Amino acid sequence: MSMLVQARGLSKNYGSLRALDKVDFDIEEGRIVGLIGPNGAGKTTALKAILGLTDFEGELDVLGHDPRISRRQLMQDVCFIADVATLPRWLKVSDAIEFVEAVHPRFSRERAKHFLERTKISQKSKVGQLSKGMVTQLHLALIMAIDAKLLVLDEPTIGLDILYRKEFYSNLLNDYFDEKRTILVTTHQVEEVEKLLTHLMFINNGKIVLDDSMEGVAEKYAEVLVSADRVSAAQALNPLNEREIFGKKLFLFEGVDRDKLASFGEIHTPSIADLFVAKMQGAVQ
Amino acid sequence: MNNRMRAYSALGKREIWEHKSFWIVPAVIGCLGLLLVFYGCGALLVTAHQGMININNNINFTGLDRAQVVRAFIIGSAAFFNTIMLFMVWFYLMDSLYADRKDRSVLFWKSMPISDTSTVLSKLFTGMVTAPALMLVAVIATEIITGILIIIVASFFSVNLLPVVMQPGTIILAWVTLAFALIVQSLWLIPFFGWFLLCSAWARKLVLAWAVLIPLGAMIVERLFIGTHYLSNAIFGHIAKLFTMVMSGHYTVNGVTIGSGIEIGDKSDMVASHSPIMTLGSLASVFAQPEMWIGIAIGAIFVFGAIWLRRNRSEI
Repeated sequence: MSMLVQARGLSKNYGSLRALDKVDFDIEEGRIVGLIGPNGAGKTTALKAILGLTDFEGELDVLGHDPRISRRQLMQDVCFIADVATLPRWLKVSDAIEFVEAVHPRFSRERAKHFLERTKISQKSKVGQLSKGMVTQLHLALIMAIDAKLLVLDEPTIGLDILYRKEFYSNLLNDYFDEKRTILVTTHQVEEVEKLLTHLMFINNGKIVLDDSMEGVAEKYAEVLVSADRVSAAQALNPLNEREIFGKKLFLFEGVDRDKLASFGEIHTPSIADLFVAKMQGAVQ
Repeated sequence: MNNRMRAYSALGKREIWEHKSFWIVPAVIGCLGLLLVFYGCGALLVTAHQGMININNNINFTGLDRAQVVRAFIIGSAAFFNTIMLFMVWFYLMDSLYADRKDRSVLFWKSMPISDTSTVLSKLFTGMVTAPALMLVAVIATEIITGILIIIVASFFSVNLLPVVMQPGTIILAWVTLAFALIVQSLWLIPFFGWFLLCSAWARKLVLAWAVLIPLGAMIVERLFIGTHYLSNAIFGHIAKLFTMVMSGHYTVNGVTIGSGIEIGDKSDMVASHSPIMTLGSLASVFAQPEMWIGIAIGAIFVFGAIWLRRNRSEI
């Protein structure tokens, strides 16, 4: 296992706003890491720093490069899709393939064509003639045809309908990801990536508030539905979060022994969305 | 190295894919010009047919400098193409580092392994070399067709223009001169091109306003508060000299610094060339002008600024 990204004391200020506050994190090869956080939490800033799109303070090593200095070399091994539909409207599909083939040493025209054949996209079309979903398909086809070490996705499916969104992630998982590849993804639609991720990172107010593997999350966090008469006993175990469901209370515990919780009822692993809400509310208090 | 060249050529092509006007507009101008020539020839033939004009078929070409006529035609007919092309390049450069930031496609271009330096230089190259080259192709095609037409029409009047027109050496030399002139013109205009690139990389909106109002404001401030007008002289003088000195070639200067503006001081300091149009020699002498090199230096500073902005501040 080699380390692809190492951040130490990564900070970034926009005027008086502290977008990243001395953040440390590592991303190892072969992981699919979900970077989740509310708007303005610093997700995009962190990604931009990794991609060399913004200046920052602290140390950041991406595949042995300082992204601020050697962006061109970095981009041979790192791909990204930042937001949907960032392909220019005037670009013809066949020209897009020609361009990427000419500038990217790791691009395979055959692979790109193979991916495009499964869509309705014609090589003669211009990007402006395609629907938003098709533009994303095209972008993904171009990017997946690049044999990169790290793929960074920033809200890759925002504004797409559900069919395209499902297809986007299934393509990524089935046709692209393997143990040599690493994916870093941010999204608001956490349910979509839930089953995809191997690792989870929560970011809030410029700080990492959770950084763990999905197995680690499943071990550490537990959700129990507690009947009304046992609520105070459950509260005594210091839950991270509680909410009412059908007259019962659903508690979310962090780091509490599962044996202790078993007496209250059936234990579940919380969904990322519920865990996220609990963590963010915890941060507010 | 081969891969690098391939990447650079893709960057160049990319610009033409986006800005097809660089070949469409010269082609359209050429077609319109030919249409005029056709119309003129047709009108001439019709009126001649009706016996309203009578062309003397004993035209005497001896008093005529035949080479001069051909040169004047070849270089002169490029003037209109060139004027339009310069405006296109102006607007292209202002747009080149701005449009992709505005539609966010900059994020796609930046995801490719291309340095920001290469990106910015590819835009400059398109303005300085690709656009003039495409224009030159249109000019040459138009001139060849026009020449053939004129010869054919003249033959209807039993006038043999072939010996006048067919001067391969002169023609090719004129085209080479034209190509050289376009290179000199691009180098002469580098400070402007660099400035437009800088504004294009800088502005969050209204690039044209930045590009025009900043120099204009600086001129006004200089005039009002310092009372001098060096800046306006430098800017307008530089543009004026493009036409008076670079393009006309009327004044070949031997190491003499010329004052700003069209008014050129003491003519005794000049050696007027034989020809009222530029020659390879008159064009080469532009490189002896300090102003050429000062302009290139200023242009380089602007281009570096544009590269820095492209790297560090690409978000709108």
